[in-house]
Parts: sequence; structure tokens; C-alpha cells
Amino acid sequence: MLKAAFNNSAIPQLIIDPTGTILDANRQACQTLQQSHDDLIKLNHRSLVDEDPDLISGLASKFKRDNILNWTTEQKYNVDDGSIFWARVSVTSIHEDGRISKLLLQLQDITGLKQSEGDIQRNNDELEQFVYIASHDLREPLTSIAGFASLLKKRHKDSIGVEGHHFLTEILDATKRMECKIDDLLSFSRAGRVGVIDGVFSLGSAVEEARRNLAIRIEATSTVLEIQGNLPTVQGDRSLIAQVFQNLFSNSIKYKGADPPHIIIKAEPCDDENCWVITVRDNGLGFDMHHRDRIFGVFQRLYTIEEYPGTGIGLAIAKKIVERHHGRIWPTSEPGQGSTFFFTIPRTDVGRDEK
Amino acid sequence: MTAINILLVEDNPHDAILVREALRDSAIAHSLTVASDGDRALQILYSAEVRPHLILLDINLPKKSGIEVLKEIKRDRALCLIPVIMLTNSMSEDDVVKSYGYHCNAYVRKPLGFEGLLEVLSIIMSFWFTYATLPKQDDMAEPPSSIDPSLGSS
Repeated sequence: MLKAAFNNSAIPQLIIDPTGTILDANRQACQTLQQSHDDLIKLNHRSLVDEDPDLISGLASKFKRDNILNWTTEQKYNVDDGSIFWARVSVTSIHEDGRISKLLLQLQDITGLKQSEGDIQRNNDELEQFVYIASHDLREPLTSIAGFASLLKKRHKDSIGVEGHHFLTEILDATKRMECKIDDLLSFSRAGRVGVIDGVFSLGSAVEEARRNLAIRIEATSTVLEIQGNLPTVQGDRSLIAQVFQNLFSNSIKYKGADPPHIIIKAEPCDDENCWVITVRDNGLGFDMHHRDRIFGVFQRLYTIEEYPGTGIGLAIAKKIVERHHGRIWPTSEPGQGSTFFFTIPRTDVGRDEK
Repeated sequence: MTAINILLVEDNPHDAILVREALRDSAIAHSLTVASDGDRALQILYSAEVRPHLILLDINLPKKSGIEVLKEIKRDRALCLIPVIMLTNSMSEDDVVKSYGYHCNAYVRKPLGFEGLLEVLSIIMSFWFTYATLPKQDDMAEPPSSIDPSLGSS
């Protein structure tokens, strides 16, 4: 009866041995991979996929170590006609005599999802490229404007008069502001262009890097940075995550209340999503939650430039970096009650780095 | 005192004027030649009877990019000892890494404003004087002829 359930299932299913040799394939698997049953069972699972990062060897050892019986991974299958079949593969181990004898693979079709993910990624890449080029090309005329305006100011001081002098100063101030915005656009696009985010680092070292970069302002404002509990080891790019902390701390210092800034950082595991939730809480001005989406926009600000200088890109960059790590970032706040920012970051390996 | 021959490789005529004016305002005795693209720069370098003492090299140039010009200069036995300063708007990491990879002598971002340019040029000049008064390396056995530090083709 189990055999019939296997064969008639609408989900493609394969049974392989721990070396990857295909022992059995159901009807749907033959149809999806466009191979006959006889052909399929002559193959090794490896020959169906381009990369087999840990499906066989890695997972088998994982099963053993953690006594896990079921595991899910994503895999790209090459179909016989040259097309591609993306599957979310649910792997179940079958044990005999205390060791893994077989693995049951159930392949859920996620080809459509993967294709739209690819389209979005391509659009994003093009946009990044555009921002990158634009930010460079925009600076070029700016050097001319600033150069000639200051040359005019220097060489023709007497003929342009006091008012003319004042106007030129305004022009030069504006070019400096523009330069800052262009540089921010550049770092914004850079935050999205970094390719590899699969490093492993201790979150504490990222906090430390942010603290170092802000050392002068931290000292000048008597800011207290308090880490509550232990910070875990996480997966991602250390300097990018340091940038997230730096931008959050920097806002806490800038938008401080009457007391010196007191920033609390802590990390809590979030079981159902295989990630950590990082909390950064301050005792600053806070803001109306009505603005909670706007604050993450590029060049968005809640105060005028006279009240608080800056271009208003810090949180946009933080959001981009967190999303690059497949995480989320969100705030809670109330005017006068400080702000708390939360973001998620992947755990290095489920079940290992509990502290 | 002898004048310093400076070759400025710059396609943007406005930036070229600003450098010319900044040099004029500085106390440096100099003569300035401007090449508006990479090919012309190399032409001047290969044919000139008097070689420049210093090259200021933009990166984003029509035809041959500044990086390629740099590569050819540092590969050429006769030219490789002329100091080359990259003077550019680009802050692309790729450009910085490649420029130093092909042995530029310094990488300088174009400053915003005339005063900044004056300052940068005076730093470049003091660098040049230090460089020029170093013992001449006539006995340098092998000029860097194989300097492709596996940085790709561009």
C-alpha cells in the first residue's frame, strides 16, 4: 500500500541511497524529469543537478549529528529537454540497523517562484548599476560648478560685492550638500551590490566596529552603549551589519532627548524563522509611528535640515543591508519615549549556536 | 629653478581649465600639456622629446580608459619611472584597486572647489619633489615588465 501511495503521489518523489544512487522514482518524478523509470534508476542523483551542495553528504552527516529525520533544501534539476525544474526538496531519512539506508526526496515545484525571484533580482541589479553610474556622472559637473564658483569668489572678490560674495557662498554650500547626497547614493547602491553574504562572525564584533567608527561622537555626547546578555554568532557580512548598527546608533545620538543617549542592544532567538531578532533601543526623541514606513525611504527625513543636518539615507541603507541578509527591520516608537529598532539576521546553523 | 613638465590627461575641458588656473595660482614653476583622451596621451608620451616629470591621469576617458593608459605607461621601460597620479571623480573600489594594482603612484579624488584643488596640487607637488630627489635608480635591474597582477584584462 505504501508502494502505491509513493507511485501515485502527485508530488515527484525519489528514493536514493546515501551515495546518491537512485533506487526508485515515482510516476510524477519520471514525468517531471522527462525520463523513463528504467533510465532514472541507473543514474546518480548528482547527475540531475548542477550543484549538490549538501544534499547527500552534508545532510547525511547532519542527520547523524542532530538526529534530524527530515530536512528541506532547494535544488535546481536539469530536465531532459534542457529546461530547468526548481524544487523545494523535502528529504526524509530511512534508518535501518541504526544507520541511514535510504533517503526519500519529495520535490515540490517552485520553478515559477524562482523565475520571478530572478526577474526581480535582475531589475534590482540594473537599478543598482544605474544609481552607481549616475552618482559618478553627477559629481562631474559638480566639480566644475564648485570649482568655478570658488575661483570667481577668489579672483573677483572686489567686483562682485558683498551680496555677490554671499550668493557664491550659497552656491558652494549647495554643491557640498549635493556632494553628500551623491556619496550617500553611492553607499546606498554599494550596500546592495555586495555579492557574498555567507560569512560567519560574532555580532559583538560588528557592534564594536560601529562603536569605533562613532567613537568621537559617542564620547562627545556621553553616550552609553549597553549590551544585554550575550550576542550570538551569525551569518552574513560583518562590515555591512556593522554599518546597520552604526546608522542606528548614529540616529540615536543625533535625535537624543534631554539625557545623554543610552542605547541598549540585545539578541533573542526566533525559533520559527531560524533567525535572531536584534533589538536596538534608545532613550531619544522617538517619533510618531505614523511615519514608520517613511523613515526607511531614501532622503526622507522627519526634521528640517536646519534642525538636524544630514541627508536622510541612514535607515534606507540599514534596510537595504538587512534585506540583503533576507531579514526584516521595523521600529516601535512614541514621541518622547525613545525608539526601538528590531532587525532579523540568519542563524549560522540551526540547533548549534544556542548560548 | 627648472620648471616641472606636467602632462594632464583630462577629457573635461572645465576640469582642465581649473587645474591650469590652480597651477597658475600656486608658486610652482611648471609647463602644462593637456591631452583630452588616452590615445593622445600615449602619443605625446611616446613622441615627446621632453618627457613629462609628472602625469595627472583621469580615469573615465573616451577611447582608452585611464587605467589602460596607466598600464601601458608602467609597462614601458622608458616611461615607467614617471610618477602617475590618478585624479578622478571615481570612488569605485574597482578603480582604486586596479590603479594601485597597475602601480599608480597615488590615487586622488577630484576635490570640490578651487581651494581644495590648490591644496591637493600642493600636496602632489611636495610628493613629487620628494620623489624626484630620491636616488636615481639607474641600476634598477628589471623594470616591472610583467605587471599584470592578474587583475583581468581591462
